[in-house]
Amino acid sequence: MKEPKYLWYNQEAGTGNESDDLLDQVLKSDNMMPLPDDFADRMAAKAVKRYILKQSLSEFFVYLGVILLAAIIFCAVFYFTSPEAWSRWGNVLLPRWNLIAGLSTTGLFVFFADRVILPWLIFSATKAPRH
Amino acid sequence: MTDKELVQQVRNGNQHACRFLVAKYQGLVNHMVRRILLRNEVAEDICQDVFLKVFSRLSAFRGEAKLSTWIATIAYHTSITELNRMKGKKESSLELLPVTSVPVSFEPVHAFETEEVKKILLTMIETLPVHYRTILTLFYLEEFSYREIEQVTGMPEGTIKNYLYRARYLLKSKLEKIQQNERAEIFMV
Repeated sequence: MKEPKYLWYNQEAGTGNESDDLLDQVLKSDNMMPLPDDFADRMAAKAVKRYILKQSLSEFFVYLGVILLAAIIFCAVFYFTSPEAWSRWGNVLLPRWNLIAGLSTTGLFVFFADRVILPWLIFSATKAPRH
Repeated sequence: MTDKELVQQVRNGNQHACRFLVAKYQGLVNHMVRRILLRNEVAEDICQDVFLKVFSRLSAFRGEAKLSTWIATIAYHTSITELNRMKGKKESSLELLPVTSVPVSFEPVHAFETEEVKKILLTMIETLPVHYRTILTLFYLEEFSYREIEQVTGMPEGTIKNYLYRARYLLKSKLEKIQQNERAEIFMV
């Protein structure tokens, strides 16, 4: 007679409870392929990198806002207190608008690099996962 | 460390807390993603997506639900979206199949040990519709309550109980079918 291969686990009781037990065992067993060992490290590094970028960007925009606000207040006070001097300075600066725009853009980039790009690069260089 | 403290630490950009959070919940996310997608080659990428979403949305976590439930919800929705993207209408057509017609292919003659029977059962689980697989995973593997599964999937408790019963019934009937086939084979020989 052929040997039974699947019947062994419900031969004793014959009530189907053994099948339930087996099902429970299978359903509760963790037999899936696990994530790599360094998964948590990599994810943590990514998360912190994003956090640093987000923080640096928000700090940058706060500083930029404060500087722009201060400049606007200064210009407004200057304009209302001394309109003649304002127009004199205007006559001096307006023809050199390209120079001023270039200097402002350079300053803005240096400031952005200092506040955002540099911290992000430094973190990436030190915390990058090694494979 | 409580979930609230952990969340606060992660929000402050503490790398150890981030690592702890991922290590604590990577099993849950991995189980959900793999059971829903059934594709090992993309599972890791989707798990990464899930955790990136967790970190970016952590400011929205108010502690009303357990952190595990909240993370499972993100994992569930991300996996379902990815599944729909990958399979399109293929999966939904599988959903429409009557439950009795879930295909099960196995070779009784090759199985002998308990492990083999378990493997066959696991293959059967993979052939179940996606909602059945999700609920089975959350209920049995992650030991979530009906209420928590309801929060994760958005299905009413009655539906969850029904799916759970039907999934179990399907698996059990398939198992018994194997036994019957074998019994018949034994008597025929």
